[in-house]
Amino acid sequence: MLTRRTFVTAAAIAPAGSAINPVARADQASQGAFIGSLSQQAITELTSATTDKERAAKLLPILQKYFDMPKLAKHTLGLYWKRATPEEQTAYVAVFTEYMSAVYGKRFAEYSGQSLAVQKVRETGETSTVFTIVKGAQGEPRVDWDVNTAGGNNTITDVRVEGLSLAETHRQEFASVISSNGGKVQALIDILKKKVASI
Amino acid sequence: MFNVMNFTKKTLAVTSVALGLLAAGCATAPDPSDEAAVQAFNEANDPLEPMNRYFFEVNHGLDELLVKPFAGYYNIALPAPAKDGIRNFLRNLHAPVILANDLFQGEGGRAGTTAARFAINTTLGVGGILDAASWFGLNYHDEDFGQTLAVWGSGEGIYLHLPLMGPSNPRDAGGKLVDYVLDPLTWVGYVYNVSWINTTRFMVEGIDTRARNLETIAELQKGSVDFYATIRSLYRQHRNDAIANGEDPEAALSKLTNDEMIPEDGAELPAVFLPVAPSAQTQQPASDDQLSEAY
Repeated sequence: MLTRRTFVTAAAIAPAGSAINPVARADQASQGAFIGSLSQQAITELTSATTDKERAAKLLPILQKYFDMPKLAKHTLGLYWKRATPEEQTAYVAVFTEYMSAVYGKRFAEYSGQSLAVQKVRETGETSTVFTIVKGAQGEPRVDWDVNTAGGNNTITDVRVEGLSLAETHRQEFASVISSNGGKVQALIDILKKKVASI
Repeated sequence: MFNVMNFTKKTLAVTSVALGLLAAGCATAPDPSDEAAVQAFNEANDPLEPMNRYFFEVNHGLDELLVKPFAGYYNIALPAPAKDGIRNFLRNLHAPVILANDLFQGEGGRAGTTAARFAINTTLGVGGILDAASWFGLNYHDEDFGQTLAVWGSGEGIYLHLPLMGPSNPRDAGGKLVDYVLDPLTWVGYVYNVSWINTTRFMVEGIDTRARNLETIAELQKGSVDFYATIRSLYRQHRNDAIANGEDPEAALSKLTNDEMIPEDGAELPAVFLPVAPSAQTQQPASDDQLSEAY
């Protein structure tokens, strides 16, 4: 069976880049620290929350701060992005961000002291990938973070847990939803809204 | 022999049901002028989707009825060290198949690890119950003939969701058969007429894996808006990761799927092909050489 160690561990992120390689260059260290500060903030704020609604509400601003949500949202629509009207695009980015907060916020309920350790940082032009492992989780799963460093701002554009990409998985899932609903992006927006309300 | 007959009969029955479904189970291709739908259809590579979704539902029903409850009892009844012992034991039984596939793939170092693990765990690890080899840094890895075929250059083929086996494709399903034949325990089962060993192993493995993933799968399912499509995507990504032995897939590959597929607004060609496209730089990081050429 697949999904041995999947997105639960993606959410099980934790205190500051404790194991940053001392020889890493300064900017690489800064991207490692960026991921570290994300996990620090997420752990601090989400573990104090008691309900799933509260967790979602607390994760939302964190996602907006650390992730490039418009880009991620656009990616998950694939070619359907171009077909959506500007209103649909705006509505989609908003509901996708809420959906992410609801689905991934929930998983912090299971958090039990795991921590992220940065293994290395690879830079390719304006994209860096920060390779981390989750210490304290079974099998120490790998979590890779794609960070866009353009303009001196770090924003995350994808997360891969054991090679399973968040952006790709949602893109393929959403493509299936849209194509089984007559190619309408609005149908996906409605379904995501319902999902968010049900969590 | 009885077992073989019985198995053949079952296979025939399943096959005839499958063929019946197949007739009604082909996905309809989208309107060729609908670019996005065509791309989604091709990428899903799932022409038997209606039949696959049917078996997905059947498996899901069996899971709810049988596997999940058992996995729940298993979790409650056994403390973590006992479960780890069971898994270590099952993994050790797989060592010959893993070793063969390490060798088929020309992975000498990994083959050495597998052989050493088998020797250490079978002796020091009390017949495989303890993962003693990991104390020496010899960590477990999986390998199977589906992965070997991929390393040899075989494509995965169309997506399949098989009864009992779950997500698969012709390459991985064929690989499973080869692994079954490669496995010494298969032959022990036949020769000594103790094939219950293999049935039991299959069942315990299923329960153990399910028990370890109860919450993960439940969360995944709750959050998903098309669970079948999520599993299909995750299965493929998981297999690709396993084929690459978990090594970082080179950035080039992921960029092809990520960015070239989604042209910048107004650009018919992917941005990277445009002579000067400053807006493309954030999308498609160019090397210094490429940049100096462009300007």
